[in-house]
Amino acid sequence: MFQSSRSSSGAMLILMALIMAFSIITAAALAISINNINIKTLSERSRSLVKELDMVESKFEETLNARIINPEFSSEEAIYKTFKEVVENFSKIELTHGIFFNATNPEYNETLASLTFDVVIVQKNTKISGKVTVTIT
Amino acid sequence: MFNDTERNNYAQIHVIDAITAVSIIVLVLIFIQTLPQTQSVINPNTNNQLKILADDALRILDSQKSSEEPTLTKLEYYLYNHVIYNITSHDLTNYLNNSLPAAISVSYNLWYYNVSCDNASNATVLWFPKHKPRSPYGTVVRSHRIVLVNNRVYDVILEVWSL
Repeated sequence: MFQSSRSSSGAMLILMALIMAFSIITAAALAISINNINIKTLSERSRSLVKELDMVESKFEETLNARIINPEFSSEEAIYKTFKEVVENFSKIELTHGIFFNATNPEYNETLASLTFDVVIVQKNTKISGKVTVTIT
Repeated sequence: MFNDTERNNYAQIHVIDAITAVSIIVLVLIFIQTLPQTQSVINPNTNNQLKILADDALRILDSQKSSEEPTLTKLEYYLYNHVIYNITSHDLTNYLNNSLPAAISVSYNLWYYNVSCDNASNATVLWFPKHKPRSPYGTVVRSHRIVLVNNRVYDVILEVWSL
């Protein structure tokens, strides 16, 4: 009886030590990964294509609006031609920064005075694509 | 029930258990102490920070309205003045000097690229410094902002590096 109690007491002590050891290792690993979040976020932010897409979208809209004067009197063909020119300009610029940019399938909605198109931005292994709608005023 | 020898044996086993447990904890603590030392080698990359600062500098300049010409942003106004009149505003250079950290030596060149220009050799124009670009050192970080001036598309390029 006494011998069994002593053995289990020793085993419990070892078990406690092991649990404590694993807890400390886990806590340390978590602390290190939390500590590295700032570094990883900074790195991701500096290379993020989201900001690039945001800038290209707003500037694309601005350029289209500046070049399409009186959209209600412009033919769809003229709007698409302007769209193509702006895409060429923007592709050229983005290419100088190692970024592939393309916008395709423009669809002009006369009622809403908006132009919807597919956009794709690629840099190294990162790719962002989606549909973009710009208002033609 | 137990004689003295048996009791001594159990006590010894108990002591060995305790020593083993303490050893495991001490080893874990030593292991933890060595971990942060290996991780602390990874510092935030200076170039990443410079890229963010350069991006922010151009973005803010392109989001604030110019006091001289409220229909244009500050960046559009400065670019307009340089493209049309070849004037480099001191406000622009002061702004860029203040936007980039003074604690570490940071240098920069400011260019703009006229996408509509047919002649490739004249398409990229040095904006600041006025006459000759500064010689870059080490890794150069490039930030850019597309700007529309007089219906023409320009790309303002800010090259930054730390000395």
